[in-house]
Amino acid sequence: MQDTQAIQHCIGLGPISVRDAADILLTNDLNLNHMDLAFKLAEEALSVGEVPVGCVLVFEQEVIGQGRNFVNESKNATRHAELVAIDEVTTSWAAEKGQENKLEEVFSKCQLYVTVEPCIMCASALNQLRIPVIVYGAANERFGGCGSVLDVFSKGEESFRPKVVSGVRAEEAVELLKQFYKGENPNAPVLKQKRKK
Amino acid sequence: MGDSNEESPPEKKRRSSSLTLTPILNQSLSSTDIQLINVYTAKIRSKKDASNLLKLLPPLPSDLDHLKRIRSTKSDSLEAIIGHQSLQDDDPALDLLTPSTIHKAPVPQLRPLTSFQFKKSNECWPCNFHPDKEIEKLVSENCGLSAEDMGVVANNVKTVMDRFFQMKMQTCAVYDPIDKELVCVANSKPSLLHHSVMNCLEMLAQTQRNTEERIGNRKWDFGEIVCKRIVRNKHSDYLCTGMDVYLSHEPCIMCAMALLHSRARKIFFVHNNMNNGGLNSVVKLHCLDGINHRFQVFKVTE
Ligand SMILES: [Zn+2]
Ligand SMILES: [Zn+2]
Repeated sequence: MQDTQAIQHCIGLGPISVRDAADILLTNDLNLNHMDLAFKLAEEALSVGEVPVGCVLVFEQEVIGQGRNFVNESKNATRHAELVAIDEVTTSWAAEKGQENKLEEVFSKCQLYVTVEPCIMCASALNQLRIPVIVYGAANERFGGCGSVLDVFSKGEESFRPKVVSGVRAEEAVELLKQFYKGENPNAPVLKQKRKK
Repeated sequence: MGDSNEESPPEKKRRSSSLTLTPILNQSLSSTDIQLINVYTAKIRSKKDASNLLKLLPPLPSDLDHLKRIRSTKSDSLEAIIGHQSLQDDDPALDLLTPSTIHKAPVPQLRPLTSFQFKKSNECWPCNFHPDKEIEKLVSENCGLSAEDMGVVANNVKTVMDRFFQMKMQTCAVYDPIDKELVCVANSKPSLLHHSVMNCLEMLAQTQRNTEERIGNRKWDFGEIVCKRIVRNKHSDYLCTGMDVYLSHEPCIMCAMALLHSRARKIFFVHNNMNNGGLNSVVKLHCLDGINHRFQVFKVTE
């Protein structure tokens, strides 16, 4: 069930056959179940009045960092879900696992799951960390750095280009954003009913 | 440090006492080469026919409407643009033209956007031009900054360059042009992504969050807040609204976008960042279509 859904959602790579999509998922060891946590984080953001975006960093099948938008509370316009998740890795996780000196290697083997296309700032951060696999939901028409406004990865070193899978549960991500921009009471039960679909 | 060799017209580089500012503009604005396109033109038989001819000729297509329809030639006759196509043999406008002079001639392809381009375009064919006040300021002497402002720029550039040479780390400073004082200064850290811009923004955010009313001379291991007044809730909720940012090096794409997210007003940088520069060398984020906040960017040459 999860797999068929995943394959159907591998739509962001241009014209792509169901078989190619399956290949991409398999060869990159993607586990789209991680999007569940990303969405949970996005909903948490919505419930506290932040732009609903959630992000999970996975290393060797284990979640090592997670984040949601933190801009209003931190008063820092750069505290996007991706950078919050990265910071969790570089601080708590690295300290706990004694990996402070191996961070570059860890990031270069991570997968990043995020509900909305990383903005240009975050995409550049992912590019500099050489995160090889990026899975996202909705496109970000205002700031998107994975092609919507700019393709950051085409601007960097030619030797590194991540695999980007887009459109995974995009409608859900858009629905959350709509809730936010409408300024609806994020705790309204309507939202949860809608989301369960 | 390698400089980009982007050509800019001599008008754009102006000496102040000690430094030169070059505005980083959209290619369409900084371009000095006038692209040409061939269109059909012809001499008008008699000067008094000019107004009648204008009534007979079909209007210029929109891609040519930056061109004046008629110009006077050195030989004191008039010459008109017919268009992309010549006229049919039975076109009444032909009676007012000298048919033997119908030929394809090069005219400026694009609408001139600056007075520099206007001047150059006119050498080829007269154009219409509606100067944009902001742009004209940017391409004028010292980019439209007063002598006093240039002094401020020189001071702030010195601050970041001194720290850069001292710490051997790229440096960023935030200046408040309303209160006329430096707000904070920070250098990069060797750890991943801890670039000077992000460090400055982090200090400002921590200060904004701080509930104490007075914050002065707070220090971090990468920088310090240097103003003594209340930073919290000044001007607006965005960290850099109305602020000018000074950098020893052109910010990377991440930091350039961070400055856009934080609504900085003007950015001044000294060295280009050829690998990953976000405001000149690799991309010019502030010139992208669809970006919702614009700031002005200047390269400083000491
Ligand atoms: Zn972002
Ligand atoms: Zn940077």
